[in-house]
Amino acid sequence: MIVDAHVHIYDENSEALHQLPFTAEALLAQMDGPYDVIGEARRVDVSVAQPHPSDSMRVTDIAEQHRYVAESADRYPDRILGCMLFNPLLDIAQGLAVLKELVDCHGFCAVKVHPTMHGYFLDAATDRLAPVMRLAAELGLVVIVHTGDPPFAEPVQALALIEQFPQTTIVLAHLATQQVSYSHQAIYLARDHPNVCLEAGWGILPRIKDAVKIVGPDRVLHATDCPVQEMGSQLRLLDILRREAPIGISLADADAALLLGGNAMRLLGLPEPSATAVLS
Amino acid sequence: VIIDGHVTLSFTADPLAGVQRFSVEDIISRLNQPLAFGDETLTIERAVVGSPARSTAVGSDLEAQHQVISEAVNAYPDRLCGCITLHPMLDGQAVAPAIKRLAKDGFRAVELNPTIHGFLPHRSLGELAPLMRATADLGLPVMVHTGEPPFAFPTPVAYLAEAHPHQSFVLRNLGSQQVTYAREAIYVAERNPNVHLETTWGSTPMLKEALRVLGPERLIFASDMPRQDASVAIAALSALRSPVPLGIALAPLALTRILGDNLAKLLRW
Repeated sequence: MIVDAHVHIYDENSEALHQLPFTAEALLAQMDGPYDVIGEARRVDVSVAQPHPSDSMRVTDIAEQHRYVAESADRYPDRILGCMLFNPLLDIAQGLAVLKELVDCHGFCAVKVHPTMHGYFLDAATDRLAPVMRLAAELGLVVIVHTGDPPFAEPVQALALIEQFPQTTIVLAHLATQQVSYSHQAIYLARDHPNVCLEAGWGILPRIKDAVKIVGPDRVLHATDCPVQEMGSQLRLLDILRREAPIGISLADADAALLLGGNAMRLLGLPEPSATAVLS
Repeated sequence: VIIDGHVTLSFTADPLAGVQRFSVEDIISRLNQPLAFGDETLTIERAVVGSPARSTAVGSDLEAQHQVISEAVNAYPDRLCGCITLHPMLDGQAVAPAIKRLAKDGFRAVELNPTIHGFLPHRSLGELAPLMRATADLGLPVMVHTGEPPFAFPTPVAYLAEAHPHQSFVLRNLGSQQVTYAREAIYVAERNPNVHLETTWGSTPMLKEALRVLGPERLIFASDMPRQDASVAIAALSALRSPVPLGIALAPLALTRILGDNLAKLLRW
């Protein structure tokens, strides 16, 4: 089973400037591929979808921010799971209530914080984020932290959250890579903190190899950031790991399966599929 | 005249945004303290004062958002002028009268903050056009925060400067924060005569490079207090007076321009 742990969907009502809508149906078309993965034509079975980050900045109705993702998760429950985008600068109580409802009524399985788009120093926001961290722990949700940009989103800025909530899985998004890369920092942090996982998406091949070798194949997730990134190219990077050195790292098929979806299924609490979807 | 082009006034600390309390009294007190400038001392006579960008991220009542700056400017009209922070999602036509009223009330510049407001200027040209027209009509220079990904690069501002060639732009922080795009900022200014550069946050080698490429007419002294201190920004300029290789033996007339004359012309102050 292939799980993409990080995508965004939004319709024409999005506040994102000059972004064409990326609807649930457009996402499903991307997911259906097919893509050549471990020698087979495969589809992406499940995606974890968030709103566009722009929609959680100025829209103060937090339920409305997530309306489209919730409707899409309801419409395609086998293919799309929701992830809440939590802005600690908005009303905390409202945010917590909305998160609980999204989990209870729409099957949301993760919550994400985005210090860059919401504009706050992550390491100064621990107190404001503590309630959502506690609720995530209570609901068994992973917490995705956007990383890869100064000044707000360097991996070490998540350290207080990582250490104060050791029972909660914190996923450092994008292998800490956007226009600059803090991949080394993210890998080092994850190595020493077992509750930290790394998204592979956005990572360059040498750093993905480092992540798998240093942190282990059970804590690296396939997560593309689609539509910012395209799914096939990101799957290709993971598939290359199966090749022999120096191009790959001779990653075993079973370990590749963990990266591609097994880890996400375990962390997100997804049920084992009856059969892996093979289209060809 | 010596003018600090970049000071942020905040009556309340906002640790989440890295904003510390810096009141109008703090500003005036700091401006009044003589600063070492080689063997001499100098005093900053005037400053351009703006709000933390977070305070303008939501809502469209510009006058309410800038009330504190208004009061500061009215209390010290000979020392302070205001800077209006604009969000690209504002309706330019609707807020134009407010911009006009603020301009009459001692505001002499506007600021765009791509980092805190989360936008890329070159992809927001349509939204920004009415705001740029409103400010161009009043002759207000546009200060743009630069120095960090994913939004605050110098080159996206180049498209804005090209779209509004009769408007003056100032790239704040010499394109430098936790990473530096100083060379990119210098290149943008080289290609666009309506673009100026702030000196604060710039390293000595990049200040030298900016002077080599642009000359002194398009550099603007600024401190970015309270994140930086005016004494640091002044010392960086003072170092340029040293002979090569430490400095570039910068002439007194060039320094006078950088320290205030260039900005006085832009602000018409």
